[in-house]
Amino acid sequence: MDTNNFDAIIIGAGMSGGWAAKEFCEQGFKTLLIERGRNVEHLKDYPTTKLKPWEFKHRGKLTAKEKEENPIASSCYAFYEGSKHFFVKDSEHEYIQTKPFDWIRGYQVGGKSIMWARQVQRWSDYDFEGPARDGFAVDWPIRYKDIEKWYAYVEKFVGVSGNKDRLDTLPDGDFLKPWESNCVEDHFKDAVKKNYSDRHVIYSRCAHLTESKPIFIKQGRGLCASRRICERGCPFGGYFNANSTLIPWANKTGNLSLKVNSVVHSIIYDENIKKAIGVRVIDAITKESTEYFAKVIFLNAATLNTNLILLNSKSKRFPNGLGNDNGLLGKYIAFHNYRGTVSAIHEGHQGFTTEGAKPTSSYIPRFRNVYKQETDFLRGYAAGFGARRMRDLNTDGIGDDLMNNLLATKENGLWRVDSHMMGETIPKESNQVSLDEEKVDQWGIPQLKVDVDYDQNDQKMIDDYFEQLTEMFTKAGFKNIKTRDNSKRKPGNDIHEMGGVRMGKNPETSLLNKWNQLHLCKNVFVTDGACMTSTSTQNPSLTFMAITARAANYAINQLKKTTI
Amino acid sequence: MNRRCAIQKIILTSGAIATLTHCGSSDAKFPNLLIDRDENILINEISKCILSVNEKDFYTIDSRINFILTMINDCYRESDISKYLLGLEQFKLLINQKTNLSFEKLPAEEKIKHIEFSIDSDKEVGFFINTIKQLSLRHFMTSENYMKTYLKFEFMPNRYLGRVKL
Repeated sequence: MDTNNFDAIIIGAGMSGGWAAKEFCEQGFKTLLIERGRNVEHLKDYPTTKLKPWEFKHRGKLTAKEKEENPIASSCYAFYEGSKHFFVKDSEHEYIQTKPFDWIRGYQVGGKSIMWARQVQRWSDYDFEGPARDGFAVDWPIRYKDIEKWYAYVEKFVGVSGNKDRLDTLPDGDFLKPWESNCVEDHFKDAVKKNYSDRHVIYSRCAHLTESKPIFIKQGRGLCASRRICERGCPFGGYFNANSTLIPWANKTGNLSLKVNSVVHSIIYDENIKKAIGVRVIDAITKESTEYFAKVIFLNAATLNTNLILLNSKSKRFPNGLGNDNGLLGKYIAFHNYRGTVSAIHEGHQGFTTEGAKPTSSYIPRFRNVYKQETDFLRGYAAGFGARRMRDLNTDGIGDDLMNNLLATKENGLWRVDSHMMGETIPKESNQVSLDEEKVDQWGIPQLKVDVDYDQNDQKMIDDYFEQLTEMFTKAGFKNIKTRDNSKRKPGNDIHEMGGVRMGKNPETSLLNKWNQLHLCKNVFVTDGACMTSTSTQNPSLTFMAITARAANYAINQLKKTTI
Repeated sequence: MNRRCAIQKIILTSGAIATLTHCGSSDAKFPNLLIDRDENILINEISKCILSVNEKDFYTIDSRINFILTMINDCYRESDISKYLLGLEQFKLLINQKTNLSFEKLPAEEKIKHIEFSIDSDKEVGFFINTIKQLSLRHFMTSENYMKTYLKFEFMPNRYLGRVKL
């Protein structure tokens, strides 16, 4: 085989690209996995994973220069002294914010799977049927039954800790055992159960190993040690990232070729055979251009870069971007609204505290507008919930008084409870990305213009979240309830941007079919966040992975039949 | 003229009569601060008065003074560094006006008195003293012993118990 020819090319070595690589390689296909950033090898390239808090020069803080030079990256909660090396710095890849948008990126093998929040809730048909029922976006071409077995397939490999909650809004999987909830989380769960028939407080399912199984041993992973510094990379492989699992798994087959520091410029379309035949790649360091060829191309560059690559893949046949006859490529971008938070104190359970740590908390699945439209806004929100005993720390005084105060610290403060919303935003044509006609990045590729904003539906949802959580907190007896709308939190800061290359039934109103193939170029598949028709409320990574595994196996079958 | 000299000039031209440090030899480790040896000693002394720690019991990898100056030099914005340096000059001026002795040579009670007087000030000197206090606290509270013994920090807890009786 020519060194530049492969069966499959996968663009992006993050979570979804890693899944595509695993599937193709496992089934014997020569696969090129292209990553624009550097390599990050599990264990070898986690420089801060073993550092204790007192070993950091700035005790975790960023320098003033880092903050000043990276207003976008430093807006992310996970960007700090211990993890900053996994984030794209603002100057490294410029883009144009037509409206304020924090584009949080991780250009490396593993992508953002190294620093992700590891929350993995399934979608249900209340999510897949949402656009059709509520009259927005377009109907999803798939339903829960189409993806159910792929959720199970992915969860088995990833390892998901959770309870079987038997909720029709949040289907169960075959979970590993959960961590304990604490007594105040249980108290809130009971209060909600007592007062509401349609609201539930459950353990938030997370991609952490709480039990050993042969598949995890085969991957070389150990149990999660509850360190809660996952964003630095885990030496045990206790949480799921692509680096400890998918990439080495694919590599072991001998079928994987990994090209790092390789920025994909565009997909090459052959007008004669009416197929994509390969990709143009620019070496991130030398800026030299190379072409690679394959029968099938998977786009997994993460939502906005996948949009960018397709928009930049212009040909005589597709002057506005590959597969973009309907002009909808880059449009209907949506995200999750995390602006609202509610906090309170709990005066009860004074005789109890917690010990150790856990990497997840509680979760309130969406309860608004689930079975019928009941508010003046569309869709709804899920919410996180957590409770912790506060420390009674007194830093008053100076000299001996101060020292005595510090040494008298005890865990006898009140309990603090916190919630944050995860609101579904409605995809709109006006929320879009496009290519700038003049400005290019350091690789000569047009810069992306991002024109995405909140709307009135989001504001109404925030107001309702405050009202409902305040009521729920009050019924649980919590005091000093405070709501906060962090209106400075820009779209993108949730790191859940989705859409632009949406799936649908009709080529006139969507870009991808039910197998994630471009309607107009069937050997190009898009299976990262760009393919999402709507966003629902759940953290999306699990669904990206399941969709990818499903589409990859479809493509593999087509390759075997030589029908693609 | 560097920022440090400019600040001294502000102090001198604002009518204050005092002997202030020259824009002389400064610690190259902290280029944004340009703290000289005497000032380094003064800040260290103030920090020790605010929070006196048995260093054997609460060992830290880096010294307190090194941590404080590193944090200000690296993590503070230029405007806050200027405010801090102005506060330093105000504090030195205060000591000069009140006593013929250097701060280090003052009796402990008198040192505490000057710190307590300055810490409540809404001028730069208040910011200066409060910054030293906050960073001293951070240095102490991130010492291994304090984190493990008093804050119950565990690097690898390996467990979560949600209902532990106190």
